[in-house]
Formats: sequence, structure tokens, C-alpha cells
Amino acid sequence: MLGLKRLFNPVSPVGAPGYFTDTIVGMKQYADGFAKVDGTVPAIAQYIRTHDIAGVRAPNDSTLVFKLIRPASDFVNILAMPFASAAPKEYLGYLPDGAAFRQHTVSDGPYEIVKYVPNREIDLDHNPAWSQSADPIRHQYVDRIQIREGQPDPGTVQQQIRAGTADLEWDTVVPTADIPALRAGRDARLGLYPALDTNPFLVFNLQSPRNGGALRNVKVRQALEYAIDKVAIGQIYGGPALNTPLNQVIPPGNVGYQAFNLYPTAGDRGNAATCRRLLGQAGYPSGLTLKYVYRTSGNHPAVTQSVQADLKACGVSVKLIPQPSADFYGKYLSSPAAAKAGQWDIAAPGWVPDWYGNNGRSIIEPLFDGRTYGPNSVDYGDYDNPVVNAQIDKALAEPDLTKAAAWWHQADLQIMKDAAIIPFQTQKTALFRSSRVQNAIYLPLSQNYDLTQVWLS
Amino acid sequence: MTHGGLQLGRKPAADDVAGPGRSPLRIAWGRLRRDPVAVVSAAVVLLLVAVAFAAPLVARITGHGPDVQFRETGLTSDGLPVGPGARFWLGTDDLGRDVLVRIAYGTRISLVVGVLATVLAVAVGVVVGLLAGFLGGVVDTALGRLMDVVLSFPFLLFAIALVSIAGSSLTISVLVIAFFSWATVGRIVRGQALSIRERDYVEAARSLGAGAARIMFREVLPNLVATVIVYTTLLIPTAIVFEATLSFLGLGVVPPTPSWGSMLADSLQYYQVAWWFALFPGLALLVTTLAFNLLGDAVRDALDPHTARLSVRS
Repeated sequence: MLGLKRLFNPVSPVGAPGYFTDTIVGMKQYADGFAKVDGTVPAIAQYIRTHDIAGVRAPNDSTLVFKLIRPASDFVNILAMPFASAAPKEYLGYLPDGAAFRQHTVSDGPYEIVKYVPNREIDLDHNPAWSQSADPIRHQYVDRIQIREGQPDPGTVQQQIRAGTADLEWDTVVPTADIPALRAGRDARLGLYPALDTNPFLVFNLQSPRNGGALRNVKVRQALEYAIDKVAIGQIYGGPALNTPLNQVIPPGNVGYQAFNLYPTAGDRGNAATCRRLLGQAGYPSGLTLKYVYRTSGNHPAVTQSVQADLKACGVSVKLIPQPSADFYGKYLSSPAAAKAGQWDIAAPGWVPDWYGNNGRSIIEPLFDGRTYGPNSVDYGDYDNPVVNAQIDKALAEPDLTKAAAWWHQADLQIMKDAAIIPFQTQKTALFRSSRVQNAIYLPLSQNYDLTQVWLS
Repeated sequence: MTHGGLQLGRKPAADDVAGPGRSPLRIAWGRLRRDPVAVVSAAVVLLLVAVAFAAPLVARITGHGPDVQFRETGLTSDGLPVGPGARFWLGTDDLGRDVLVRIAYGTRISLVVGVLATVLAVAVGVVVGLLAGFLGGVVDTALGRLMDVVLSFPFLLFAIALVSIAGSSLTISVLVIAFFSWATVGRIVRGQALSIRERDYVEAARSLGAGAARIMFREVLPNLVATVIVYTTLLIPTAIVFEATLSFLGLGVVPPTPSWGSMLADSLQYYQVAWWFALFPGLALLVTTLAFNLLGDAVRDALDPHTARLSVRS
């Protein structure tokens, strides 16, 4: 109960509020009320003690009863995310996510944090309160987990694991340039795991008034679907072993995935001639000029230049707007005002679902439900189709997973018919581990190995 | 802005003494021609200018445009750059583009930005320095403080902030670099003007009734020419490195326009597997700055071999 209540504290509210406010009765009101509370420990504790969420009640110590706004077949998935984890009452004594809180976390898993120095290190030891008999899934195989932070270069992390001074990666992946050699040598320490993502993809700003509102014309967007050499994008991210071209919204491994391709090109290499011809038919025989906002970090500049070259080949000139990551979202993609003013036409964000399995609410719904459009919406381009919105509602309410999947697939088809985005690819995550690490099991949620499963030889 | 001015300490040749009928600039030219370092570095600078002009020719000869991505031939199937060989003489970059052609086109950016920013900085610096030094008084105090303020900016941090607000482009790069360079010139010119204005011939002109503007531009300025030439040559490499730094940080020219700085930035992820991608743009930058620096030093020595070195610092 406390875990759910703390979600909407005014100091560090949950990043994905919609999952809870759209499902649980009274959650929205609870959140709105909480947002007005002072960000102090007593005020937060006071609000939590004196206010209840209308749709949640705890008849006894081990039972929670939820009342939902409408049927939600994925509700268990939502609750399984770390956001909604149970919170002990001691947490009321600290400011959520404050420095004092971070030094006093309480664990109900096999390990507990015994030392935490921000941006330097996190040490975990066995949690004495945990017992294997009560938790058959997780284990306590290794005695101690030491996380050393502060090395931003994945190449150096790679060297350390190779040298045996580290066993696993924490938040880096294998540098793409290293992967071909590791694969060629069949290095057993390399693991490639499906990220089940769509990253990056090209989103159209459907509100842009530029080019006479050309991007509102579905025929223009459909023409551009043919332009992109998806293999070349994959090469930027380490080549075909790590990247599979994707031609639809839902990536493989997620609910509703059924492979289809409405805009096929030979070898997914793109076809400038088709694009040019269709642009002509759409009324733009002499092409367009599109503003392309992109991030100056990581692989983004390379992707941008690759896409720019592809679009140029079909007569579309691209004006590049370089931005740091924060401004890319803050000033452009998440800003309806910027979209309306035509400050950008196209952009290439990425998307990793928050959970896997029954996760339409974590892919189609946030990205394409036009009713949620507004500041900070991830429906960046303001795509809004009543047909798709209705399909989303039906899918979310459908208790039968197979039937829900069919609805998600229908929505996927419709969105691709409308050419709201150009999907590029789905990726694999490349992880490296030292040779003594055993039983390394990949956990898609953290895009890393499950530390409660590994042991050392 | 640490400047790598080398002090080579060449002794003046015996025939440096001004003979009858030879102007100071002619004497300097004579010294310069006999200085092997000057000749070699001047040749390198001329070569760079030639490369900048001939960049399209390089593209024609190799058959590779500067922005053309050779995804089939210029990249391995895993997307790694291809090494130097018959097809790509200096290898390819991370998008399968020809490194040689991009370096050649990058020369243009480096020289254009280097020269334009320097000319702008020198022009502003000379005017401000001259006014401050010659007029003195309140004007000097005000302009002097202004230069102090500009010189005390943490230039890189400020440049990053400026570019993020104004958006990156070639013009912005030139302006930003010029903004952070003119004060050095201004200070030197002010000092020189201060001493020149007390000289006898200036006094003479003044007593003959010459106006302030005339004295400034006809009597004082010509005596600053040597200083200005030296600082211009020494500022160019600084400006080139500055541009490369901005581009390296993704704040310089907008891709796909090739710049040595952005090439170096792109090559970082690949330095272990594609040495050519980092090495050649790095070499181009090194050779260029070295040539300009050595040339600047040689010019300084040639113009005034006896006096203590004026050191560029900031």
C-alpha cells in the first residue's frame, strides 16, 4: 500500500504515471492531491497517513484489493514493475530518493545494499532477512556484489573484464567496434540478447506546417517509408549480427507481433526510385525540405547522416538541427508548441518497452494514442487516429491474451498504413562477462544479467 | 588558449644589419627566405591552401564525393571502416566515406574558419587596442577592463554555452572564435600604441597640427604592421585548433560537412580497429598547426631578431 502511495510523492514522482492513474480507481485524484503537498518529510507522511487511494484497500496484512477504472488484462504486469514494489514504513522517515533515503534502503531480496557512494560504488551483501525457502526463484550464490561506477568509456570496462579485474558490466554494453572480433573468435564470454526494442525509429511531426503541411499527407509519409536503407542503420550499430531490420511498430518478442511489411524494398536497403515516384504522385515531384532535429551524442549523428543521405537520394533535402539530449526531448519532441510551430519535421528517437509479455500499454498505447497528446507525451508526432484509439481500448480491456494480441496487431497494421513512423530495426544487447561467471541469465527488464542467478567458478 | 609558440632562438645572420636603401620589410623578407624552417613551413601552408582549393579535384581523382557513403565497398558487413588500400587511399570512416576526400574538404573548413576568425579578431583587436592605447584616459580604462573581462572568460565553457544557445553553424564558429581571440591582439596593440604615441615623430606630427585620427592611422598604425603580421600568423593555428575543438564536441560545423575535429570525434569509438580514421585527420591538424606556428615564429624573428620575444599568451 505504502509503495503505491509513494509513487506520486511531490519530490520524486514516478516517471510513468499513466500506468497507475489510467487503471486504478482514485489514483488520479490521489496523485493530484499529493502534487500540492509540500516536499517535506512530515508533509509527505501526513498526506500518506490521512489520504487513501479510493480503489485500493488492504483487508489484511497479505492481501491487496484493487478496483480498476476499466478491465486491464495487463494489470499484473504493471504491478510487477519495480515502481510498485512494497515499501516499508521506515521509508516515511526520509525524503523520497533523497540522500538519506539512499543510505537507508531496505531489501526484501537476497542481497542488500551495505555501502553506497553516489556515482562511485554500490556494495551488496547477503540479506540476512531473506531465506531461500521463501523465495525459490532468486538465489544467493555469490557472497558479495561490488559495483564500481565512474568509468564512462565502455572500451575501458571491456578491458577490465578481459583482464579479470571486473566480472560483469553494470550499465555499459560491448563497444560495437569490438563485436566482430569477439564473434570471429567465438569468444564464449560474449552474449547477444534480443533487446526486443525498436531503436531508433523515424517519427514524423504531423503538426508541422512546413512544406504546406506535407507531412500531414499520408501519401508523402508512405513514399518516405521506401527511402531508408535499414541495413546501413544496422551497420552503424554493429552490423546484422546485432540489428534486424524492422518494418512495423511492434518489435518481435512483444504482444501482438506478427511480421508484416507494407513497404518492402530489396534486402531492406531502401529504394530511392520508388520513394521519388510516390512523392511525385503525392504532389511533391521536386521533393521537400525537412527539418531533422537530432542528438549530438553516441551513434545519433551517424544515423542522422545516413538517413539524410537516403532522403537526399529521393529528392528530400534535410536541414539538420543538432541538439544535446536534454533539449532534444525538452525543447523539441516533448513540446507541442515546438511541433505546432514546425521547429522540427522528423526525428529519430528510440523505444524500449517498460516490460515484456503483455505490454501493448508500453508500446502502442504511449506512442500512438492520440488522446494522450500533450506536453511530455511520447506520441511525439501527434498521431491520432480514432480507429487505432478504439483498438487500443479493446486490446487493453480484453482478458483473453490471444484476442488482445490480435487487436494490437490490428493497431500495428493501421499505424503502418498511416505511416506514422518509419521503423528502422530491432536490436540485440551485447554483454561481456569474465570467464569465471557461470549461469549468466539475461533479464530483459534490466537489459543485463540477473545477479541473483550467477555464480563464480 | 595556450599557444604553442616555439622559441627556436636562431642567431641573426651577419648581413642582417640594414644596408642603405633597404626597407625594414625587405630586410625581413630577405631573412625569411634564408630561414629553412620558414621556407619549409611556408611551403606546407601553401600546400594546404592548394589542397583546400583542389578538394574537388581530389574527389574527382578518387571518384568519391565528400559526403557519399559507400555502404557496400567502404564498410565491412559489420559496419566497420575499411582500411587504406587501392580503392580508399586513406581508408574510410564509420559511414563508409573516403577519409582522404573528407580531409581535403576539411582543409577548407579549417583554413576558412582559421583565417576568417583571425582576420576578424585582428581587425577588432587592432581598432580597440589602438583606441585604448592612443586615446588613454577613460577610454583606455573602459576598453582595458573589457579586454580583461574577455580574457578571463573560461573560453571553452563559454563557447559551448554560446553555441548551444545560438545553434551551431560556420558563421557562429567564426564569431565565437574571433570573440575569444581579439582581446589578446587588443592588449598587445594597446601596449605598442602606448609607447609609440610618446615617440618624437608622433610629437612632431602633433605639433604640426595633425588630428588624432590622422596620427592614429597614418603615424602609429604603420609601426604596428610588424606586430600585427606576427600575431595574425600565430592566431591562425589557434583558431584552427579552436574550430577543431568545437567540431569535436559536436558544436562546430553541422554534419555531413567534413571537419577534422568532427572526424576525430567520430573516430573515437573505432580507434582500436580503424587506426587510419583517427590518425590521418589528427596528422592533418598537427601538420597544419605546426606549420603555421613555425611560420609565425620565423616571421617574428625575421621582423625583429634583436628584441626580446613578444610572447602570445592568454
